[in-house]
Amino acid sequence: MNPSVNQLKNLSKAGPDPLKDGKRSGARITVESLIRNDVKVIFGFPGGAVIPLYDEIMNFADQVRHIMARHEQGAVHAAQGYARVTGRTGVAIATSGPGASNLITGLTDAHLDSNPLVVLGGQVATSLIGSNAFQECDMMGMTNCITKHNFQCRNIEELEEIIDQAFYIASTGRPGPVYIDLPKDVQMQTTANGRSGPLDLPYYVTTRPVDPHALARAVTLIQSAKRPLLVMGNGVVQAGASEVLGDFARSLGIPVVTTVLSKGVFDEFDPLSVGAGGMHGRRVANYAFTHCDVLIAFGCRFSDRVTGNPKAFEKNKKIVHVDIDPYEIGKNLSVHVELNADALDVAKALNKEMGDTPNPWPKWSDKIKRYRSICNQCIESAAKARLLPKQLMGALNHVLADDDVVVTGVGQHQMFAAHYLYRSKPRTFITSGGAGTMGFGLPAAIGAAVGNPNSNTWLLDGDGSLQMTVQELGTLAAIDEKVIIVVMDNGYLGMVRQWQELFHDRRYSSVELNNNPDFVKLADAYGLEGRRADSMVELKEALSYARDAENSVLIHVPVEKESNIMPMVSPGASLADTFGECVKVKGEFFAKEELKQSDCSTGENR
Amino acid sequence: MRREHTLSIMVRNKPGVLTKIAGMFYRRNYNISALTVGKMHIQGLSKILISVPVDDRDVELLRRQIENMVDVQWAKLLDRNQSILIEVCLIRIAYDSSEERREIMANSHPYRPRIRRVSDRSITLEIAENPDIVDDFVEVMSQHEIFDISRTGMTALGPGLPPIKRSDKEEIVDDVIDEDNVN
Repeated sequence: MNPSVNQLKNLSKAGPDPLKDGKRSGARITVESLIRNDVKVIFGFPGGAVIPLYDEIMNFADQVRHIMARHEQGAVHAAQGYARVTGRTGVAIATSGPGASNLITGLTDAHLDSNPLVVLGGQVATSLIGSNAFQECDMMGMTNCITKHNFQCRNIEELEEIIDQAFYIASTGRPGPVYIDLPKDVQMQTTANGRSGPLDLPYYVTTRPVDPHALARAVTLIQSAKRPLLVMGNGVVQAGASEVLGDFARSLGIPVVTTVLSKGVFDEFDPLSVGAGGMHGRRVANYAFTHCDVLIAFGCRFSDRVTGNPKAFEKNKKIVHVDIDPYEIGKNLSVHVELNADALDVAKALNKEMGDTPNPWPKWSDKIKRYRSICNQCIESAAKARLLPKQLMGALNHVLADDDVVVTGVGQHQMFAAHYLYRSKPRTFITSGGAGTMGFGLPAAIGAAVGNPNSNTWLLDGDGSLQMTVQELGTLAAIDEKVIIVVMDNGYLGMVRQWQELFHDRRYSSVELNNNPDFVKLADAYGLEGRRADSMVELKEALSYARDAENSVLIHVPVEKESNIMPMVSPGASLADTFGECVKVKGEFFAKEELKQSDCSTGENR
Repeated sequence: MRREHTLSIMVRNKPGVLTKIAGMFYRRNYNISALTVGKMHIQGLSKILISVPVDDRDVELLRRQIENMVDVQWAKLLDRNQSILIEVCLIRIAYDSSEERREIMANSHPYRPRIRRVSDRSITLEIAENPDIVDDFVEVMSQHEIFDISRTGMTALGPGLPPIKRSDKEEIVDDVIDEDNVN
């Protein structure tokens, strides 16, 4: 949850902690500012340009914990995992030059998925900036497009203000990553001054009040709907509006679709939940997208992965778009009611206006519930020599608790997880959505575990994805927190291979991973426990064992090599053109025979 | 269809702000035709005027994206027909004879240029006019030998008052001023 606007804007100075001559160094000011901004854990990797900072971090080890990653990319992804699970602002630190440039991928990922991060990069001394000095890199120029905002501190007097501003910007409005460039000489300068009073951010607007006219239009539109659909995007998770909006959906009987990024924001065991829609969306979800007449979207930016062809997507429906970022409203689709406000405010207002209305569209919601349970039953494919990814998902569903956190890497395994796993609470499915960063999984799971001490953190990763940041096994082995790593190994860069199979005549150009290490031995080499599961019996046993174990366990699961994640929408095609073995007739999501066979009165399927 | 649009942007006068804004245009594949920036009468604020060919559908999106930036106070799309658009042009023209110089003066006279410098070989003229008129002037002068030209790009003032300052959640400010009646 975002701290209240007033709290942050009026942060007062904590008071200088006097050193011998009554002054504090830039490094000390930095660490104290982090603590004052309620930072409990930092993920980082030291280097020459941040040695003064790290020296001070050691002085405050009892107040803030530093976890050393094995690569700066691991540090920033871990900060992301922590932020995504807790809702707090994640913090990462790297040194100048190559250390800072290793943060770029993580910043891009955080920017696209709106994660609140404050990332500190060391920089060469101010006198050397611009001279191509040793380990110098123009991070300000490089991060202009991939951060919500960035700062370079050239003078110790502005340091405290910069850090406070950074936290305020990162965590309010539409959250996002903020980068701070910290030259080494500024870290070593000293001053007796601090910061006080409100932040100097006169033109930064975090949100706008709910426009009563727009709200009235939205209510009228929803009341006139015959087949409404509620989209809960990641904005609902960030606003903390999942409960209020969930109540609204349930009392009116409006089916709810989520995105891959927001999976879990609405209880997927609820008969009204159709799961995640889009390119690899469930049939019932894309059916709902295609056939609804009023789409009420909260905190969703309608990425091309969700809409398919946007012209086809917006046809035959009216759209109410609620978002805190005015830039996203109507960006990709034509919108009929624009509500630029905080999702929680709008959800409360809508609940107040309409919350008592009994379900006015029972035929539509019953239809969706029936289709949902058809989807839930899914088609059993013939068992092959190796386990099928679907079977792995089924086994995971049996062993996952509601409060457990599932983190994924990127690729087929990610889409299998989004499609088949049941998640019932927000912030329990952590995945790289907008950027799709392979290698996100392991470090993000580490950060998630640090932010999630009360239940298990599971990582479902692919053999390709895992190896992009596999060095973070070292980070995991060094901390007390536990992650259960399930490696879905199909010996390929599965998603790319699938596209090559479907769209390029099975020309498998550079996607084979036929020399993977023995993952069990690799885990063992890092001091972690490893197991291998080649059959359902072994898999179930390994999963139960891992669930109850004290320490991290890696489970290596070889799966069928050329399994495809279906159904699928071709890039740029309309959602109605979903294809796959479960779509019997193209253009018709559900065939008549399936409807006859279904016997779902309640649609419950736990 | 890309049409020439003009954006007036009020920003905090901090290093890097101009780079960020220009970078955003580059990133979205818009080629800035003209850009001017100058200080406002209010301390710490600057005004950026950008002229850029953009699709009509996309220009509002672009405006919102710019206005989202932390150091931008507001971004306004100017109606070119209702705004005052001025560009300064300095032009140095060569001549061999006094007759040629007389011809230059006669040809430029309708534009009422100021004479900035005269030598025995060249004359430097200046006009400050609507950019379209500046284009005409340059074209007319190109029948002579042009040594050098320097153009500032366009600055502009739109009709009416600047937008009311955006406020955060706590202060709700109503936009009650009728812009059409102020010019």
